[in-house]
Parts: sequence; structure tokens; C-alpha cells
Amino acid sequence: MMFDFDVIIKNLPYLLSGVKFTIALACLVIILGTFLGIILGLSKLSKNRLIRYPASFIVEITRDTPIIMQMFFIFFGLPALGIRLKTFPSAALAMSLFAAGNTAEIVRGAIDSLPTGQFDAAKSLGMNYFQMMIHVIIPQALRRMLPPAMNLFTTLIKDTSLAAIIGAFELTRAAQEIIERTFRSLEIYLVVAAIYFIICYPLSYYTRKVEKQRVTGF
Amino acid sequence: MRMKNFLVLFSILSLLTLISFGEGIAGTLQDVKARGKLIAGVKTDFPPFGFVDEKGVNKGFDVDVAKALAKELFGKENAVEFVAVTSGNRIAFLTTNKIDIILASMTITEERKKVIDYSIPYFMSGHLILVHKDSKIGKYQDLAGKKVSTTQGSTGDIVTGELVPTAERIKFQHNSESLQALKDRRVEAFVQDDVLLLDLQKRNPELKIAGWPPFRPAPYGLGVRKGDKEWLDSVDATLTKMKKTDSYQKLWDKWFGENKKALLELK
Repeated sequence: MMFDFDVIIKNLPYLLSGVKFTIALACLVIILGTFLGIILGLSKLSKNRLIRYPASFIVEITRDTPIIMQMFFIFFGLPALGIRLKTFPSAALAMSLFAAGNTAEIVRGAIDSLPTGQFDAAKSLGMNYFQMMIHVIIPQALRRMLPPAMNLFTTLIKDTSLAAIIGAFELTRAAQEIIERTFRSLEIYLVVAAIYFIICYPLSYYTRKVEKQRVTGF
Repeated sequence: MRMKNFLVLFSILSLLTLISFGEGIAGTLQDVKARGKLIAGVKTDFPPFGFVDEKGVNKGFDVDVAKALAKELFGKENAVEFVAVTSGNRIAFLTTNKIDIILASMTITEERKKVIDYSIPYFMSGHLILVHKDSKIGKYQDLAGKKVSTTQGSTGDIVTGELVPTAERIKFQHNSESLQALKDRRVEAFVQDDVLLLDLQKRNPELKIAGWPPFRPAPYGLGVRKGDKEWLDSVDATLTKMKKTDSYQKLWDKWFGENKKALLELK
């Protein structure tokens, strides 16, 4: 059982065609998830019950069920209600909701962790809610959100491989197809691991750098 | 993904399959004709039935049968779109209208018949055993009390459980993993479809085939949505025509010719 470089070279283009889906899905999910997550997180902090309760409900549902179940529900369950989505939109929607729910908790946690003095100070300057959020609260909370958000992003990138279950053609799926044809699992899996590493490592590295910086006000 | 998760998934899938029964069935034949192409669910990880080559092109016996169907319907064999399915999700893909037909080395079973309709058989498959050259295992009865690797969702797994209940089955997600377990001697045998094992034996001279002749023969069929008679008849007519002319035999020889003596004949 010699290590076979030839297999890697021959099949690398095919693997890389799978990476496209992985990266496209990850980018879309991170952008959509962050945007939705911030809205949900702020809604959870709202004084108005009509806003707070539905937001909490969505956050809890998405955080307390496995992401793969959400994908299944959207891909195989919704057609029963007449909603048909193709593979990529299904995976993107399911993962974005999952990302949003988790981001919402990160946002809420970061804002809750700020000393109440900050809120009082902003109010005493005569700021309204939006001014307070934009000028005082969010800049400080952002620092605290970064590390957990980065962790979530790396998790999301790795979890894109779950989309293979609903028939998406991404990196892991491409690897599996090559292995079933060539039976060279060691070589192919090593390359796949390296590719995921190349995508995720810069994120982890950046996160550590941010964590090392002392959290100070802006 | 661990096994437990997979079982959960599988049960959910079955449930969703049942839910999707409520969907009205439009005639697939009209849909296909209106669309101008056939959407076929094929495997991408199961040579020689369905796999992808280095350029990502779908290849295999099932793929060629799909092309023959397209040729019959539209007069051109490239009027077909391939969707990758697995043993675990192919029925759900069909019942939720994501594909028109399943062409994925699928054995006709009574259980599946409750959910989908089958075409006439288009391939006859049996089961064999792959073992190390020095193994004493000769027939399936010898598997009693031994560790056997099988692939999840395969008939090889079901058949081993039925014929040799005392065999300790270790199930893997993919054939490559079941094979690796045998090569690493973590199990003493690997039970799967005859075609696949013959192919694996050729690649691995340290292994040999046992269990002749292929046991528990079972025909493969194409899967269509339940109650869609017009579409089923059209598929059956094409298969019958292929068998009458040389085209079926040509395809068979192309993919299985070298194992002619070993494989079962489709009656």
C-alpha cells in the first residue's frame, strides 16, 4: 500500500469543483446568518413582548435542534406543504437560520454583559434607543462578540459538509465519490482535511489575535 | 456522521416519505415531455452501476440505461439530467418530486413496493462474500459467529442478517469502508452485491471470493412514483424494447462482460 500521489493529482480538479460549493455556501450562510442574527438578538432584548417572544421562539428552535434535521425538514418536509426548494437554497436557508439563532445568542450575551452604567450614561446624554445602540453599545459589544462569532463561523464552514446528505455536491461528497471509485481513502481524506484547514485556519488565527488584545472601550 | 444520527435521519426520512404521500401525482410522462428532458436519480459512488469519472461525468450501467430512456423519449440520449442520490435518500427524492425516476442499482423489495412502483427487472444480482486468501470461509453458512462487514442500506446487510443471524454484522456507510475493515482484518468477511465484490477482488489480489454461486438472487428495478401508471408503462415499454433488440445485451456486455461466467442471467 504505497502512498499514491498520482491519485491526488488526477482528482484534485474534481475536488476543487466541490470546494466551490463549500465556499459559496459558507459565505452566504455567514453573511445572511449574521444579518438575521443581529436583528433577532436585538429583538430578544426588546421590551415589547410581541417582538421578544417570536424572536426567542425562533432562536430556541434553531439552537436546540440538530442542523441536519433543519436541512431535512426544509428539503424533504416542506414539499408536503407545497414549498419546493432545490438543494443549494435548502441548505443555505437551513444553515442561515441555524447561524442566525446562534448569532442572536452571541449578540444578546455581549450586550447583556455590558455594565448598566453604559446604558444610563447614554440615556443621560439624551440619546434615543438607536443613537445609544450605534454610538455606545454596539461598538463595545462588538469586541466581545468577535471570538464566539469566529468560532461559530469555523463550525459553519465545517458543517457545510452536511449538505451532502440532501444531495449537494460539495467537498466531502466529491471526496467520497473519488474514494468509491479509486479506493484511495488515505490520500483523498488527507487532501480534504488540508483544504478545510486552509479555509478555517486563518479564521481561528485571527480570533486568537483578537482575544489576546485587551478589551478596552473605543 | 455517526450511525445513531443516521438511524434517526433514516426514520425521519421514512416519515417524510409517508407525509409526501399526500401529494397529488401529476403524470410524470407529460412533465418530462413538457420539460424536454428526463431527470434521473443515479448513484455517483457505486461502480459499475453509477459513478463519476475524473472529469465529473456520470458513468455506469444505470447511467447508460437513463440515456437509452431519453433516446426513446426525445430521440437524443443527452436529454437527461443526472441527480446524485444515495441508498438512504433515493426514495425520498422520488416521492418529493425531485427526480422522475430512480436508476440506482435498487433491488426490488416488498417493503419498498409499498412506497413506490417498480419497472420490470433490468438486472439480476446475487450476493457473494469477500474474504482473505487464507480464509476457511467457503459458503455463507460459515459466517456464523464471525464478524462480517456490510454496507448500510444494502441488501447484503439485510440478507446476512436473515440467513446467518449469529454473524456479528459491522455496518459501514460506504463500500470503501467495509472493504478497508476486511483488509485491516477487523472483520473476517464482507458481504455485498456480486458485481461489486468481483470488481473489488480484481483490485485486491490478496482477497478471494467465497459463497458461490451468488446467493439470494434479487432483481434490480427502476423506481417510479406510486400510481403513475402511464409513466411506468412507458418505462417498461422501453426496457422491453431494449431487451428485444441488441441494445440491452450490448450495455450489459460493456459493463459486466468480463464477469459473464460469474454473474446471474436476467430471465
